[in-house]
Amino acid sequence: MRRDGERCPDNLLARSRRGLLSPVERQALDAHLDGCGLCRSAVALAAVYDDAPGEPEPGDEAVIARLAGRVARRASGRRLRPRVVGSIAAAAILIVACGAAAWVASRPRVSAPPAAAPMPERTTTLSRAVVPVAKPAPQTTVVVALEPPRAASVRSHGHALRRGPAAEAAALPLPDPGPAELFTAANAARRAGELRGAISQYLALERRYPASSQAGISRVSAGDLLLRLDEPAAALEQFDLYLGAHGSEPLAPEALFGRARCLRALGRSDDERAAWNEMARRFPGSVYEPSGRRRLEELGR
Amino acid sequence: MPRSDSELLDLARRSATGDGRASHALLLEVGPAMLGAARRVLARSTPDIEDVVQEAMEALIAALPSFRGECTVLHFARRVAVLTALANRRRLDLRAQWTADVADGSPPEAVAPGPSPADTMLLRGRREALGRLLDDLPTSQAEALVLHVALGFTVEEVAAAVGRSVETVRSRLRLAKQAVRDRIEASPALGEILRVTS
Repeated sequence: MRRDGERCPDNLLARSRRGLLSPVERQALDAHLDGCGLCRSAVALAAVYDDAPGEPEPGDEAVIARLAGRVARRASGRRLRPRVVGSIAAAAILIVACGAAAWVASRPRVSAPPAAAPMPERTTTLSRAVVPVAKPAPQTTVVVALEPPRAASVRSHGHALRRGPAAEAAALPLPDPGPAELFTAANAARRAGELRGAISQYLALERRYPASSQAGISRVSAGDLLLRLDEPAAALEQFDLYLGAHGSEPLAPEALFGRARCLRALGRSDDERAAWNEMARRFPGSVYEPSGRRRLEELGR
Repeated sequence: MPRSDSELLDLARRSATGDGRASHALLLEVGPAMLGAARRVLARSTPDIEDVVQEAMEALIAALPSFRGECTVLHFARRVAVLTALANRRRLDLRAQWTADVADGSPPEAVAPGPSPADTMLLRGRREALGRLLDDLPTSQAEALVLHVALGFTVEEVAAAVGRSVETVRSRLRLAKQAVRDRIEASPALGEILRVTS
C-alpha cells in the first residue's frame, strides 16, 4: 500500500503550475491527488498563490528601471550599506550554506568598486512622490535622472538632510497637515526612493505630533532609513525613542534589531552584544534571531 | 527581446567584477521575475514590495561573485527574491497589523475590483492562514515549497537553484507538505479552506 509522499509525481505538479500538462498528464495528476493528502495540501497552498498578484502589473517597468538603476549605482560605486547587510542576512546566509562560500557573513561588500563606473545616462519617470494634502494630486509626472539628489541642505535634529523633490514639495505652504497626512507623505517619499525627504517628514511628524500613533511608527521608519544612509548615531536615537516609549508594542523587535545594527556600525561591541541578548530573551523565534545568534558567535558572546 | 541564458550569465559574471553597466542591464532583465516571485511569496500587494525587491536585487548583486552557474541566472535571481521575501514576510505582517488602524491613505492590501466583500474576506483569510504556514516552516523547506508549488520549478530545477541533490529536495518537499497537511488537519478553519480549494 502506498503511503502519502511516496512516489509523488512532483514534476507533474510543477508542470501543472506552468500550464504545461497534457490531457494524459492531467488525468494522471488528478488520479494521484485523489489518493494523496500531501499533494492535495500542496495544491491548496498553490491556490493561495493563484490568488496572489504575481503577474506583471502596469507600472512595473518603471519600478524595475528605478530599482535597477539605484542598486547598480550602489553596487558599482559604493560598498553595501549596513542596513542592507542586516536585512538580507538571512537570504545571504542560506546562499552561503548552499555552497556560495564567498559571501562574507559579517559585513559583505561588493568586490572592489571600479573607479567611477559610469551608469548609462538614462532617465525614467515616476509618479509624483508626495500627494498634496489639501487638493487632489495632479496627474503629472516628474522626470528624474538616475543621479542622487544634489539640492540644498536643510538641518533637522542635527542631521544634514539634502532635499529631493518630495522634500521640496513638502516645503510648499500647505494647510497644516495632520499626522495621517504627514505619514502618508513620508511613506510616499520613502517608496519613491527619496530617503532624505522621507526622513525629514517622519521627523517633522514626530516633532509636531509626538503623541500620535503615527509618531511611533515614524521613529522606526526614520531609524531604518538613517541606518540605510550610514548615519547610525542618528538612527540609534530614533530606535531608542521608540523602545523607550513603545517597548512592548509590535514594532519592538524591529526597533531592537535596528538598535543592534546601529551599535555594531558605531563599534560599540559590548552594547551590541547586550542588544542581541535582549533580542534573544524578549523575542525568541523572531525572524531576527538567526542574525543575532550568528553575530553573538562572532562577538564571542 | 529577452536575453538568452548565456547572455545573462555573461552579464552576471561581469557584474560580479563590479561592472556597473552589466549590473544595471542584468537587473533590468531579471527584475520582472524577481518582482513576480516576491509578490507571490508575500501573497498580496503591498506598498513595501519595492523595498523587498530592492533588497533582493542588492542580495543578488552581492551573491554573484559566488554564483557558479549551477542553474540559470534567472532561476538564481528568482531564488534570491524568494528568500528575501520569506525573510520579510513576518516583518511586513507586523507592520501591517500595527498600521491597520492608521489612516495612511493607501490600503495595506490592494483589492482588485470585482469580488464581493465576502469573497474578498475569504480570499484574504486564505492567504493569511495558508501564508502563515510558510512562516512556521524551516526556511529551506519553505523555499523549496515556494519554488516548486508557487513558481513551478521542477524538482531538478529546485535542486540546481539551491545547490542540493534531487533527493534532498524531494525530502524537503515531502517534509514541507507533511507540515502543511498536519496544520490543515489540526485546524477546522484550515480544513474548511482545504475543502474550498481542493
